[in-house]
Amino acid sequence: MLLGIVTVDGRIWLREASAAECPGHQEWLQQETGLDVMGAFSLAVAKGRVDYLFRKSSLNAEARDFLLDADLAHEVASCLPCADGLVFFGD
Amino acid sequence: MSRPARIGREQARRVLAASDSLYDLGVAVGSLADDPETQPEDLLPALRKPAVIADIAAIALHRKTGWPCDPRGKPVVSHDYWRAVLDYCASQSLRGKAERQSDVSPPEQTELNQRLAGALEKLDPLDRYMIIAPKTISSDEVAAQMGLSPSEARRRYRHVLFLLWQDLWRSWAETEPAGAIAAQTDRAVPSRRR
Repeated sequence: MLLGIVTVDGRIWLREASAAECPGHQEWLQQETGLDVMGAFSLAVAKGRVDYLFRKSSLNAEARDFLLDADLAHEVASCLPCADGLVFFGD
Repeated sequence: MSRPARIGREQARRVLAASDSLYDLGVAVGSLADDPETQPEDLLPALRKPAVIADIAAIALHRKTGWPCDPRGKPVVSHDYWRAVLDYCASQSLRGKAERQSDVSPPEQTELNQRLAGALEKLDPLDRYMIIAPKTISSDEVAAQMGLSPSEARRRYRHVLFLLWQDLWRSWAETEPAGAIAAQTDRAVPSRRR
């Protein structure tokens, strides 16, 4: 699983989720301050391909149902190597 | 070869119970969160997983039940929880302290609720939900998700109440005048402090 953050300057930040070091977005932001977050998401990746994109994150507290904007999620996916039939959880 | 697809509720439940793979757990919790047939208890085991999984489960639980969406965030102290604390106090011969709590003025109740919220924040997320959502899911049902028997479930529920009471009493002790605390100590101090 990868954690993803889109910052207001349009950058996409990715970091591996790790139970020991960085289990979630909140912990990531505690470790790395200064990220101006526009939205957050997660990815399930296998063999170098993104199989699933998760639009739900507690960082999207301002958004309906804590979902990353659908258009933004698809834009993010377009920048990544995705598997055929990529699933957007939350759609 | 093409792996992407949502998985069914039963398979997702099995994955949540048995797998340590974040990938598999993610597919399971994502599938459950998107399935309108998913019941709150299906998602509870996910609260014990790493935050990337627990967050998704907590948001889905928030939609289905109205519970706090962040298991690590500030919880809402419900009336049911308040009653449970008072009942527990009464059962532990702490009636005097309990009556004193129920007789406080509204401003004091606000302060008490803040203290209770602080005590709840220290609990394990699943224990917290067991306490603050007693009408939505029974403590037995929640504990069954934790692999406990009904009797163990009841013990756990009471133990969590005890932890909360103990924490609340300590927060009280930090602010009450020393004389007032000394006068209450015999009745109110949890047994392990004796």
